[in-house]
Amino acid sequence: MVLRDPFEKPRKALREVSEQVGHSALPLDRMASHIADLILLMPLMALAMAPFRRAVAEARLLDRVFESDWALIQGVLAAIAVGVVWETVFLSLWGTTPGRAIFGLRVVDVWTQERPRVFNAFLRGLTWWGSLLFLGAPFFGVYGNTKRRPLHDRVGDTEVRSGNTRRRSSPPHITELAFGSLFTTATVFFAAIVILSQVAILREHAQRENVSTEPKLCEDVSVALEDWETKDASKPPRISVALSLSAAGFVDSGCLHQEADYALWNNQGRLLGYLAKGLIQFGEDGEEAESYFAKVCDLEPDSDACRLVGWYRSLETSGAKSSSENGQSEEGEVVASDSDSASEVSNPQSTEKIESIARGILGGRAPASNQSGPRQIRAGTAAPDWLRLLVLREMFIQRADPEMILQLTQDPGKHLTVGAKLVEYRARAQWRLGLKREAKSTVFAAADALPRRQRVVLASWLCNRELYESSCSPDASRACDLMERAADAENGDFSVPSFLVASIRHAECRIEKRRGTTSLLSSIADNVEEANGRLLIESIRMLRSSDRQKGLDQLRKLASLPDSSEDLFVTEANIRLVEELSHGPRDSKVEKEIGELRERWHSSRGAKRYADWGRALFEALSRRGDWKKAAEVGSLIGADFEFDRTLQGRIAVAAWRGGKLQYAAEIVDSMEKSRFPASLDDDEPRSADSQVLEAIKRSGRRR
Amino acid sequence: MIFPLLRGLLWFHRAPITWCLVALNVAVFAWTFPAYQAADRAIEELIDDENFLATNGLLFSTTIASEKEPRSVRELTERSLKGDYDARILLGHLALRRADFIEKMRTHVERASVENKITLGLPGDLVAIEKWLVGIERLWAIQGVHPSYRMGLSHGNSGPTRWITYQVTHSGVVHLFWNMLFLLLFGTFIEHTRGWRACFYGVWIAGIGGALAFVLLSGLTASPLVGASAAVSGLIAMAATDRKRRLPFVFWLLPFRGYYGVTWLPAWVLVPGFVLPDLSGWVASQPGLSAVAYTAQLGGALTGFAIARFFPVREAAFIELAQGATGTAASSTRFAA
Repeated sequence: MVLRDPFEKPRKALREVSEQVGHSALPLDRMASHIADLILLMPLMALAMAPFRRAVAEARLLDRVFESDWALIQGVLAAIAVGVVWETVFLSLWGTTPGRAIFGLRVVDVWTQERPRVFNAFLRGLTWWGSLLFLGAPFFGVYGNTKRRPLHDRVGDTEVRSGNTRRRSSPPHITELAFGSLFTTATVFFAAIVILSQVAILREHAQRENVSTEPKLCEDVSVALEDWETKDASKPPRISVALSLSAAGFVDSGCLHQEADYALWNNQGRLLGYLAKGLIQFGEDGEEAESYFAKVCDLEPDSDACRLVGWYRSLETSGAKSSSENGQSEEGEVVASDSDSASEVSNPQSTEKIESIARGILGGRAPASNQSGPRQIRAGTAAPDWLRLLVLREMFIQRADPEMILQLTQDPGKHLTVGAKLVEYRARAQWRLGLKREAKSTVFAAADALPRRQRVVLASWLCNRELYESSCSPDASRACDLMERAADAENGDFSVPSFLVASIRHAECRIEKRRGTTSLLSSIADNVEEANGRLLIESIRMLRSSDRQKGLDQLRKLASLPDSSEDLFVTEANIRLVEELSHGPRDSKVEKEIGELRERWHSSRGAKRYADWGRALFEALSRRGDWKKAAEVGSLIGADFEFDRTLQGRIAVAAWRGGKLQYAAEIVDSMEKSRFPASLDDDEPRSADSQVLEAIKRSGRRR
Repeated sequence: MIFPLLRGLLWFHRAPITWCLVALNVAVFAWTFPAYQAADRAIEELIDDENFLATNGLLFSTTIASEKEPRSVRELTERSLKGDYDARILLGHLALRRADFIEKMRTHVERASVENKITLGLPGDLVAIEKWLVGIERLWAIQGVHPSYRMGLSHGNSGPTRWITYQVTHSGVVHLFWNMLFLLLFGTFIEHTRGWRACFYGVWIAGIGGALAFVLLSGLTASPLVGASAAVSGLIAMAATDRKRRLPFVFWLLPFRGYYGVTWLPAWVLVPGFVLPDLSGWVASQPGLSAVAYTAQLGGALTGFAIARFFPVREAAFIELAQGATGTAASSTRFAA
């Protein structure tokens, strides 16, 4: 069909239309006329919205959601304003718009049947465009109203008439009226839901905008920097703080990476920036780590950082592992010491190298590692915290001289977090030296001052050591109570494996002492998320009930899981199994199983708490009188319990009884030359063992 | 939906120049397509490397960004230096389009190759920069063989031939399709109503006018200007010049009889229909970030308006068009200007 041109002699055409009285317009004509108007209006609306669209794009670029929402709302309002002006101007001047004119429609005042006044046209336009915000619900009034007058017609006192005699509209039928009202109600209801949800989203965006608008560097570093202790008012570079916190296990590598980038690109400590980047890459991408290390030594060849780089380079060339690869546990604690990890990490050359760096930090005052003599606490060091912490971490992994560790940990550090880590290192060093009383004093004296997380880590370490080495002693109970008091379920402490393992053993001690029931184990089980953890607790509960055999089967299942050297629950299952079997009957089946467990231990050198596992195995073999194999296991774990004279004595006895006389004599000889005889005071050997030891000494002198 | 009625005009013998122009564009695209695809894939692989982009963004932040930049760029710069990774990636993309940045980096690389010290004079993470240099040199090598860069109009590549070749180069099938569709719609119309010269010269002159407007209003970037959009805008503007003349338009409002068909509208409705959206697109776009060269299209349209007077309309052509449109003896008075 060919329609009339509404622009042909527009005034005349529009006047012609406006002068026709006509009849009610067809709803479809009305809809089509609006679409035609929109086609003409859209470019104008787009132009009105353009500045706001630009603001929307800019806000989205900057990830400012509320700003973007607000600009979008402004844009929509601007577009509506264009629509209202369009309606007002055309209706008040000609009684029709170009779109309506195409279909011969006109809008008239209901009282005068002439074109509406400006105010009425404005009100009508405003209501029409406002109706769009309610998803056009009021438009259904054209079906639901007997005179086909939707809301905007009633507000503006107008009606739409058509001059086209062939397209006549009759009053709506009762069914049409009913459906019109139904659609209006349904659409209003739906629109209300949409509007309310949009308002809720808008409010949420506004709240989010208030929370985070400014870009921030690593939050933990910013907080620590505020409390960082300095001699004058000047604050240390952020990268120095970040490196210290990272070495203390307080921030992750993502945070360190962010701070290193900031230091490098803002020229705020390039040396440490390169060192940090090198440390992050060390163990992951050796080539890139070396590139960063090279930059450190290019910048300052005589710096401490460059010396430390030399250490990491030597590790890389010797193929030994470092802390960045396996030294950090999930709690951020150093685990490669005190029976916490594999014994294959250190080698004498590496140990000597890291001790040499430590001596450099201490100004050459520390005694060499092979010197013997009374324990001395010397003056501390002015070395920066990051250097001390990094060196200490490596010293623990390489089993360096504990006395040197004590000297390095003498100064409290510039921040509580750093101090907490130094306390931890100090306590661990004291424990290794056999100074268990001092280690406990260090932990209990510092515990209250430490941040909660560090308190849990430290107490958890002490509780574990006490439980593994002295079982359910009162000291173990005190340490474990401290750990449980410090822990907070909401912060996820209860789901940390080392905490859980200690909690289980502590709960068993309480049950043995009749201070609790098996419900203690159930309450721990509630916090366990990992399947292996749940399996471990379940098997221990069965062992403590009438289902002992079933519990053992479950332990066997968990203990034999392949590729699980990193899983503490698996190691604990193996230790438990060894402990349970060692108390069992002496039959060939049990002997065979212990033999298999020994083989598994031999092949699991990377396992967590490898030394504790070996110690349990040594105890089991000794108890069963298998001295030869006990001596073999003892020779492998001896280095991990270097200063535990009781255990060393028992290994010597086992070796003597297993026919390894020379090895027994060597152990006794090294015990005699030990620099720390005081540790013997704590735990005297059993009388039978004393006699054997005396015999070993005599035979050694004869040789 | 509304567009000019073209009954019978799309035959080759009615508009040979338009069809030749379309064929030229398609042929150039087909000829360059394999090289285009290979180069695009290589660039995409490079851009997928977030470390490359992040370093690019950081280099932009430390070497180029200043107070003169728009607010968004200033803020992104600040954020990128404070560790915002997303901001670095965004700036990395932006920097690849910035001629000043690319020029500065080229100077550094050239000096470095002479002095055999590739990170000379650049601030920041030198290890990351060394890796970035490998990437940027590869990017430049790819751009050297990329059809858009070889035929498009960009900073440093703005010789006289480029002002013509950019018009027949397209950055993808979709880009080509829409430009050719509108070239057919309006090219045939102009060729029929104003003669082949109007169509042939109009296309090239409007294209040059569009490029000139782009250079003056947006400035050439490191990213090339390609496509026939400016030329097509010129043709649309020529069609709209005879503003009072009624033209037959096909419309489709609702899928019911009586709500689709042909209507007669003045030529000027092409202005809000096709030129205003370019204007609003230009106002709404972020400087240097838009993928559409709105200023080139506006420039093409202005050129079209300006040159239309040199190619007067043929009245007979409109009568033929009206007869074709209605199939009846439509009144020729409708077409009186």
